[in-house]
Amino acid sequence: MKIFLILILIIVNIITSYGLSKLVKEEDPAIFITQHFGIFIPVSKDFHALLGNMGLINTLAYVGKKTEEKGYLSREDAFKVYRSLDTISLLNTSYFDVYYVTNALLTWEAKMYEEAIEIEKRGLAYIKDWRLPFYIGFNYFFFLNNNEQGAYYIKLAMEYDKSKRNNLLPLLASRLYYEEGKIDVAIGILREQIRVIKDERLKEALKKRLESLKKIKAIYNAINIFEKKFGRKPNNIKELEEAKLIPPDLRDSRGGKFYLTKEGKVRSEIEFRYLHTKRNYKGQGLYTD
Amino acid sequence: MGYLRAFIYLVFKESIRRKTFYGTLLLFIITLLISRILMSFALQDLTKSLIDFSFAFLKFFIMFIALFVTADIMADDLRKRTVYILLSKNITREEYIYGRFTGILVLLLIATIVLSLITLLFSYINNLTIQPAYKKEIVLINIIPFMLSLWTKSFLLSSVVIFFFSFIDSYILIIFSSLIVYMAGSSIENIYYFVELYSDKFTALTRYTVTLMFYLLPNMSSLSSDILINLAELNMSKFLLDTLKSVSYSALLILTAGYIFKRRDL
Repeated sequence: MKIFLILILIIVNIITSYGLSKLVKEEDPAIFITQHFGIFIPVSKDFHALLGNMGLINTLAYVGKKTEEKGYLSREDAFKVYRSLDTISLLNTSYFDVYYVTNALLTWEAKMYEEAIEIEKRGLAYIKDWRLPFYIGFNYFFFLNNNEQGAYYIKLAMEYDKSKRNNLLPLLASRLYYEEGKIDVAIGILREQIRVIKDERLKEALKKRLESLKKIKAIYNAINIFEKKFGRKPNNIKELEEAKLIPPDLRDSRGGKFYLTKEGKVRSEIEFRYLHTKRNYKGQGLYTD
Repeated sequence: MGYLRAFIYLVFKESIRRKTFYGTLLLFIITLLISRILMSFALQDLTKSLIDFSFAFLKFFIMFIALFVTADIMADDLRKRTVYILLSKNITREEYIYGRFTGILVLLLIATIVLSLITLLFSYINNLTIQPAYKKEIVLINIIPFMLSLWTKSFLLSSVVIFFFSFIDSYILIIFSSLIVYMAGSSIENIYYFVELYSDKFTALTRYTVTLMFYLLPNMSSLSSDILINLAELNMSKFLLDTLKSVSYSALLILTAGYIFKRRDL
């Protein structure tokens, strides 16, 4: 009789577990994601990192489920994801994945650029990885159109050892400083990088950019002289050439001709053409030089 | 001092005989394997994920052993009346408390070293399988301060259990009270920091209460496992002060427990 009862109970247990497993699958995953750091204050610090890691797994599951259902993240979902990532970044500050996911989800998916930057800046104090300041810099210049802050963080990324393998950063930082009209800073960055970089191929790319920037600086100097001499700004590059203030047919390192924009900015046809970012590009798709 | 050696041997022999000891060890190995599975959910920072999970489980098990083994040994002495046999062998009640604590101290030291080295070896081997782009170097030497911190906290918890044992009969009540002190002690640093950071949002009474608790409670948080992968630097002055507080707090509890136990009606 007892064995029979035990068998019945085992079967009941299996049936209820099966039923529960079905219900759990249907549950809104929002209940598993972390919403506020305050609730973790009474939890032992020894287990904060563990909770942070579990929280990140749950957040990814939440995003997966929501995007599977709707094909996108709604504003409400995005806010929940932001709160969760914000909390996780406080629980496990030195876990790079939190910032990696933040950058992937809060910018491209949720369009919460300032919030993403705020979380990523938290990581700067704990993680020595060039990608973190790079993400911040990229978000500043690409999404928020803030070239100066963008260049500042890209320059910060360049200071990390592993970034030295990559010529993208000094080129991008110099480009952003150029966009901000800070040609001397851009030239300074490139000179410093050329001095420290050992890879000859990278050095060559930087030297080319430096030469182009030097030409731009020479054109700006020529514009100043022209203005003092003729009491007006030049209308085009040709006027500077005719006044013998610059050599004829100046070109950037990729062979593009220099020209003056209506605003008086010196650009070139290839290397220093208009920088398309998310905010100022009106066409289809998103891209940048 | 000879009685201390006898107690160390006794505690060790008793623990080895317990089935719970082997059950705990088996569970520990299973959780290590789980941490390997959980690591596969990480996207970029695989070593960090592996270290976080495996060493969090290690901390949990060491504290688990400290709490339950101590409570088991002490409660068994009363339940099986071993305490009377021990006290009849020319050992004072105070010496009984000190002896039991010393035995547990050594047991926890062995458990901490063995389990920490197993975890370290497990993490190190798994880290070798991670691709270089997602890998971090494990600084093996940093396991020493980590183990020291963990051992200190574990015997601090044991001393809390022995302190409660000195005047409480019920096993459940001893476990429950010790668990409350452990939870309060491991979160008091967070609460104190939080209250100090936003001091303008709390009343003076709250701030004073939290400060008082910070002084009264033992600090149960051990070193972060981030030091093993160079993500956090070891703050030597904080580490030394914390260890000193734990050792002195533990000694205070054991001395008080001896004093109370001497006057207890058995």
